[in-house]
Amino acid sequence: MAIVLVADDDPDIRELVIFKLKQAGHDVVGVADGPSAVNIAREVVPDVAIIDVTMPGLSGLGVCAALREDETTARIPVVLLSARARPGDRQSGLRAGAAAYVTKPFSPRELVERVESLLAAG
Amino acid sequence: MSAVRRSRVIAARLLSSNFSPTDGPLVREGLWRRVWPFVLAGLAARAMLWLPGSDVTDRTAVYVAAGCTLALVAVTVFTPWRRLPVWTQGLVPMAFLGVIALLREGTGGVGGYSVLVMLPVLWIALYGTLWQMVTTIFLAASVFVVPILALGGPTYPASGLGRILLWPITAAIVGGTTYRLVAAERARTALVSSVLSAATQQSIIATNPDGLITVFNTGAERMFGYSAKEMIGVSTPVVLHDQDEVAERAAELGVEPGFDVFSVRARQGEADTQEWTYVRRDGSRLQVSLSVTPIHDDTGELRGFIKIGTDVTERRASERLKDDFVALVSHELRTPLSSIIGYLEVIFDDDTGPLTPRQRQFLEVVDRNARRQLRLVSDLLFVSQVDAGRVRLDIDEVDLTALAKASIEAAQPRAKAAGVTLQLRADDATMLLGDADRLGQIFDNLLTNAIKFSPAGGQVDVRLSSTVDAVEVEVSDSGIGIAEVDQQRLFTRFFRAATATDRAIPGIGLGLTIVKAIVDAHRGTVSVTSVEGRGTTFTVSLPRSGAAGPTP
Repeated sequence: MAIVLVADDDPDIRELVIFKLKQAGHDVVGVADGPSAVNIAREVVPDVAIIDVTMPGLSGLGVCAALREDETTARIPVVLLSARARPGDRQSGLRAGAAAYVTKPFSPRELVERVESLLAAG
Repeated sequence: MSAVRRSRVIAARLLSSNFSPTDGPLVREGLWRRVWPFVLAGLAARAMLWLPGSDVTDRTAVYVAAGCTLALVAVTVFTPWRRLPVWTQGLVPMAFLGVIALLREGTGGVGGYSVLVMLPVLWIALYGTLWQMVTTIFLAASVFVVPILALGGPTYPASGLGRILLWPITAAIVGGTTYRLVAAERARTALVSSVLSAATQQSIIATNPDGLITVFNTGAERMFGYSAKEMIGVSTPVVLHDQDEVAERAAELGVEPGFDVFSVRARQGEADTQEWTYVRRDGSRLQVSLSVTPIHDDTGELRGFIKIGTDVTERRASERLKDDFVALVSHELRTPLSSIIGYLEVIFDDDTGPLTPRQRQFLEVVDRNARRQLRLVSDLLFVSQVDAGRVRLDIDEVDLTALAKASIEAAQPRAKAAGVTLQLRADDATMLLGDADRLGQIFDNLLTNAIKFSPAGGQVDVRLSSTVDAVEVEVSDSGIGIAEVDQQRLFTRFFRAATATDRAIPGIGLGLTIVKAIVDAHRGTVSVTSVEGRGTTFTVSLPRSGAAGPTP
């Protein structure tokens, strides 16, 4: 059992991910924008953060960078979610410090497996 | 300004005068430069009289000739030629013929002065009109003939009428030939300069081998906001460029950040077309697609370069806009599909409330169609990336057989539904460097087509064979085939063969375009053989190190 932060401005996707993670027995905190993602991450220090790239306020890449800068959150593995599939998007995500880059649409089952393998590795 | 630089400027100006447009047969500028040979010849002829052996028969005539020469010089210098019609300049050499006539008269028709008629004839041939040419030949003849007719032959013992006529005839031939050559040259120059000024949408800049500008056409003036006058013979094209970019490319090429950056490849005889950032006089920037071509003369010596530029700023901006638009649309289309496909998976996986078989069947239809739409969106996005020349590959060691197996497995349900059997034959050396996702797409698309175009009971064969440098993939079907006329255009975007449209087989004509783009990106080849009604075979050959090889 772990604490997972889910940040996505699309409520349907957010609820889907939260539902699957809760089903797998994790504690989940959901937020809808970049700045709250950074704030909540500092507060609760989740074991994994799943963050959408395209969000209002601060993009997923920005959140990723902000988490890396703060000592308390620097070690949180980040899974970036994105519906952007332009060449270079994955590279820039991984450069920003993400542990994984998942393109939408994704299989919720596989996403949970991904999170659990990150938890096992951490 | 240093002497070397100054001489280079002069050289450039002389060179550039070949191209500069003419105002007419007689240009107003530089009259004195053109007239001085005659004046000098007149003065020299006068000086000859003081040398021993000169035989003055009529002093008055000689003095009048001297006076006329001085008057002619004065007229040439002081006449406000700029305010007069251009043709009036032709009167100077014509008047000089009168001086020659007087000189001959005063020296008893001595042959030595007769040669002087060539000078006015040449002058008119070089700078005059056809009518002036004819008039001058006529006047030249009069110089010889009039005194004989007026005074009688015997006064000139050295030359009878027949001999004397050789002079105007020779003058006519020399003058006529020269005039013809000059007129041809003038027409050529006028053509070149009219082409240069007609090209208002293209910048045409010529330079000497060192890069000093010799031609700066109307298009260049408009494009960059500098006038030809301030560029020709003064600058090199480097000053028009974004200096950081020049320095960057110079570093890439390993040359000094100067004109060499533009000429080094053209010098090696390579066609060189690149995009450059220019800076206008007002500081604004523009993107220019620039072709640099070397100019060689007949002997093969390098005479300079021609740089032809087309402003592509707007084109690039609209391409960027299109890119952004496609990216936005694909994002907006993928997001709802993410929800649909994601929630469907949750429903299928949910064992708390099992679905009835019928519900499951219907939801599978929803899932299949959502995925089909997703594939379409991805295909459109990929094609727009191909357009923009931005296909990026994640290169890794890839086993094509494994990819083929995965694709066949994924296609199996569709094949079963269509009553088509899929078969794989592969040898074991099918490893190569490439992008696994993209290469998998080749199999997916070829299999999709093969199944779609096969009749029930048909068979699709996937064969993989290998050579030392390449892996070859063959996908054959026993389907409806493709007419020969359509085979050529098969890889063109949105093209659909008649055999497909006649039978109303669904599709939008992107599958093979994408196959070709992926194969190209891996530096491979793809070809098709087909017999209508018998079947089709696609052959893809992929070099083992192709995608990682050097850029051609």
